[in-house]
Amino acid sequence: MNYDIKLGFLAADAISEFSKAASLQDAERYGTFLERCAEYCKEVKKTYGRPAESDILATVPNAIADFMRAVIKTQQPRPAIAAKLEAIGSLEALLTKIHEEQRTPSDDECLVIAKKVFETSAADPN
Amino acid sequence: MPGEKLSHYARLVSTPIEYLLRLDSAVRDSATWSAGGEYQAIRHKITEICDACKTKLLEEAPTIRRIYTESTDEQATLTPAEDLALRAVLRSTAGTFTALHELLLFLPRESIRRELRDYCVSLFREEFDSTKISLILTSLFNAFEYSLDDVMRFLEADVFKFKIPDPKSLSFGTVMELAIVDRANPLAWAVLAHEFGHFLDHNLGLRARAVKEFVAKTNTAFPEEFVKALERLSSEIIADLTGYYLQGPCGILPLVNMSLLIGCIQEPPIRFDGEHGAPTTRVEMIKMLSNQDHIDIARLNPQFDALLSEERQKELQLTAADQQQRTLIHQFLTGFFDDVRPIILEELGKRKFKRFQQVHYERAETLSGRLANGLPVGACRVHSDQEAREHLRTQEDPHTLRDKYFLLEERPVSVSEVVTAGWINRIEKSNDLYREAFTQTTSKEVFTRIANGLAEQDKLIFKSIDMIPMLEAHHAPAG
Repeated sequence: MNYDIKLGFLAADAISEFSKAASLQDAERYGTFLERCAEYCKEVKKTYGRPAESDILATVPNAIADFMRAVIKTQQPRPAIAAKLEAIGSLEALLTKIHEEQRTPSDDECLVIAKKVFETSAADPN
Repeated sequence: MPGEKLSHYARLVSTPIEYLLRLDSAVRDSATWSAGGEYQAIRHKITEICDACKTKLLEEAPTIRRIYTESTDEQATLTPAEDLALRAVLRSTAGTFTALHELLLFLPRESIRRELRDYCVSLFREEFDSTKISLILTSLFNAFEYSLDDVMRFLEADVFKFKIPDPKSLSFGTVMELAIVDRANPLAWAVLAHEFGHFLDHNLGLRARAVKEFVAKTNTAFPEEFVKALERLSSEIIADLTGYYLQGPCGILPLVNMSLLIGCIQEPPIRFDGEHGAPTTRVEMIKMLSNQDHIDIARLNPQFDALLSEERQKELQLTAADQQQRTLIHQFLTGFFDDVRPIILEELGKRKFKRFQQVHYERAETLSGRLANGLPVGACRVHSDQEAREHLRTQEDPHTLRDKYFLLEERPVSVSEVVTAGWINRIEKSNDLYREAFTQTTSKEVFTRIANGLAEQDKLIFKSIDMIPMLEAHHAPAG
């Protein structure tokens, strides 16, 4: 089992903000909560992210593009990591939507976001 | 999950905090006996991260304080937000602990405590030959037993074959390993009763016998691979049974704590791995044995039930197919356990071990009261106060008072009773310890109180175990 201490700290910080925001009903704290979640998502992608097909620009010569595809094939994330990255992807989409709509998230949304952060902060199986 | 009683959270909170503080303490203490500059950077980093963990825990102090203050209120619970925030910080604490413990590989390692050797000699009796079994500490957060001969045989490289003696002519013996963090945690030493069960199994060929009888009983021709799988299962059942036989129901509590810690870090429930049953299955087996032996483990149940409740909640999140598979495995394991148990117990009964029984548990319950009052418990009175009073009342001659000193005689108790008393006291006192600690306002004050409280309890157990060999020698028949 592999546990990332830094990601764990970021997740704990984000969810702690949620708890404080919920108990104080403080709009500013909800904002901080969303910021911390965004920071956490960014860090998860940095930790687990692997090069993807979308990273190969159209301008890259074919030989180099083929080589990059061969490298990508060797670095496929394990199912548990792939699931984590997918969850982070959908979480980021929700955070972006709330940010674009410039509103305070509803209690249900906050709980969904906090749960996703918690679930994705679990240790990775061996 | 939200909706759990606060008493349940009380058990969840204490385990990761205790282990973080033990790790922190072990690393800081190591500076006194390994002051080399080359270790300072690692030590500094570990203690810095531990301090960061403590700061995050303190942010949840209002919730933790409420848990311990209102733990007896059956209706009180946490809001979903409080539940998540608490679990997140406990996950961070437990995960950080397990990661940092492996870094202890890079620090010099102490040998085991004298009291641990006394514990093993006393519990395992003549079967524990310290010239053949080495007790060492490991940076993996677990306990192990293995034959060093087997390890040497697996080393195929010629360089080893030329440089080391053939195990057939010079046995390397057996190794039992205990996590470094448990060196000064005497209640965790109970896990060695399980590991000793593996040693017995290796030396007596118990697993092969148990499976042979099982196969004969079922009158079925199993394929070789399945027989091997059954032997691996038997090996763990033998170890758990030995732990229970020698140390009683507390023999499995170190595993319960380890499982609570791992449970904090992972989402799915801890599953059957091909050898070890799920912790829930193993705990149920021990509870069943205790019930059959009329050992009332009500005072240990808070710790057992915390794990069972957490794992069951997680099971409910599995797919129906996965839940069904878990149930099938549980049913097979408990049935297999019932079938092989008599053979194993019969073999253990032939050894000169002291079997842990109801009378020992009841004595441990009495001893736990003395521990709670800050007294060591390596011995207990042969005659109760009431018996003494009755005797003095009926024979009041003051000139023969000296003859009545025997009424105050104390005899040594067993180490299994001491450790059991320690567990009962730990489980019952932890609410007061954590409640009092979290009334403090700074991180230093909170966690120093908890660390000191745990250290005081440990010292009493060390002292208790220490007394026993001396008292046994004192009371041994002359010549």
